[in-house]
Amino acid sequence: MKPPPHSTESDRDLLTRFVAGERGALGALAQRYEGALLGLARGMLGGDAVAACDAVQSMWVRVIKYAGGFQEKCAVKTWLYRILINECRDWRRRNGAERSGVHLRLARPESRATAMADDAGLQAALAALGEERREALLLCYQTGMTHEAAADILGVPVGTLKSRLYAGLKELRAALGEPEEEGVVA
Amino acid sequence: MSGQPRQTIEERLEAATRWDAASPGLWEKALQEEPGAGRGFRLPAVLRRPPSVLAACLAVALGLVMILAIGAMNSGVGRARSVARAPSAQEKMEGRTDYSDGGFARRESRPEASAAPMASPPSPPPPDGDSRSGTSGAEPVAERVVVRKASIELETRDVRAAFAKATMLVSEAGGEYVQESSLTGGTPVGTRGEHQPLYGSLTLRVGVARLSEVLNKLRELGTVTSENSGGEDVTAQAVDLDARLRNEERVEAELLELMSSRKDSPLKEILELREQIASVRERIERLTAQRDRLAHLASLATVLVIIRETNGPQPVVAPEQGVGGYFAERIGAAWHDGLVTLSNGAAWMVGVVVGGAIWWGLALIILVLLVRALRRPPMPPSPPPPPSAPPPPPAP
Repeated sequence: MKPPPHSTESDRDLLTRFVAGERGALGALAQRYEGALLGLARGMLGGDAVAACDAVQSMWVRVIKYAGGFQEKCAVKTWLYRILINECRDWRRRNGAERSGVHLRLARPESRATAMADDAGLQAALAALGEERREALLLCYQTGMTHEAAADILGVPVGTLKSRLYAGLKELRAALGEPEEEGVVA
Repeated sequence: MSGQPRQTIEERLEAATRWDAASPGLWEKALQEEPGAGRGFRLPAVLRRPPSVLAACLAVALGLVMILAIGAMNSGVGRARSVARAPSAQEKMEGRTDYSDGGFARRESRPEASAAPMASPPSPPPPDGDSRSGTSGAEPVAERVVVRKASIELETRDVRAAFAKATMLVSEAGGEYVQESSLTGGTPVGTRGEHQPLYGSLTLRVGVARLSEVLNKLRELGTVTSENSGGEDVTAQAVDLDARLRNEERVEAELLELMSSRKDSPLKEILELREQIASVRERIERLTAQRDRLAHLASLATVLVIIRETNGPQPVVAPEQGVGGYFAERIGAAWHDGLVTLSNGAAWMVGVVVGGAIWWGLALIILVLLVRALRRPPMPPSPPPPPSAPPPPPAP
């Protein structure tokens, strides 16, 4: 069951085809978003790649379960991200991640120690941020994500998102001891 | 680190949310969790036929269903006549709710076999390709791990004795134990010297090697009315737990090594490392506990034993009574039986009318459809007669 290599169909069409019985359509959808979703989940879960895989898999299970009832109130991509963010929030609550601070980052074995040392500070600072600011930062600085799309995913106006982004960056810089920069949030 | 230019926060954030490894195909694993998804729903071919054929098929199916329903209702009435219905061992093994009345309290029976540790979510491979999933084939399966369970239903005249003997079958020296036991019934019902039937239920945890021996001894305690046995293969769970555990232990070793090599690092980094080590250790403890529990479940088989009284309630010896008392009692019994029969009949009729209301309605619709389909088309109206010739003019 391999997805088609390069599908040009819209997300909505792929989801419709999956609901109609084509399991490969879900693969095409995953081909587009799974990497980005995994990256976001890992960022939200303190760099824990295993937990990120679990969260994304749980997200797909929910997508499979509720794809038939998907309403066109938002884009499919937005829907996927919202489910994933909720999964990550649940995971953090279950595991008390809000309190535990830094987490283990499972990268390649040979570079694990170095990467962990590099990212530990960032992860600690991110973990110390509030949930809203952390999510805004991780979403907005993910490659290819626009502020409008991120605001849509989080269900807030773009202005609110930008203020969270600004405050989050300021807090992050203070935590990491980096100088302030002006005009970061455009 | 020293040879590379320092990244800005934005770059580091972007790197933190970037997934460089190949996508592990989690959607496929999710599909395996939800095997019924994405197969679509198609009407059977017979339902895509013309309405008349469809109506005929529906009529035949409806007839069959109604015959079955009436049969079930009759057997339901038969069951209602009995004093109480105890749950079957199969129902208890499957953890179904027990609604037996007549002195039996409603209770949720959930044997441990069905409450076995939940299968851990299928573990996706980490991005570095390090296979840690037990189902990937990279981990050799040493032996199968099976959680055995069996159920047996017995009937005997002396429920208490059989119950006590069954309890003594477990060998506490071998770690076996009685997980749950209950003996209910036996309380007098009414004034006619009857009592509720005794009903015993035991859940035994016995060694897997002794399972057949214990079942053989249980069979000797009464007449076996039902027996089931089966097993749940948890090899995949066990292998997965082992793989996760090995992985966490490897990570812990690396962290400890890192800790020992960075003794001169700032206090903050050392504290962070210690937190990470504590977190990994916690996960190791959790996984170890899960693995031990699974091993415990697999080492002991679960045997559910249901013991019922033969031939229903045992009559209590009635006190001495005269002819008048006996006559009055017989009249009372006849009146009682008549009322029971009447109420059963009424209940059956109400059940047929109310419970089958949907079917009656469907039958009516199908009948109407059939009549319309089979009715011949109306005859075309006969052409009007040709206009008659005008009357001849009167003769002059």
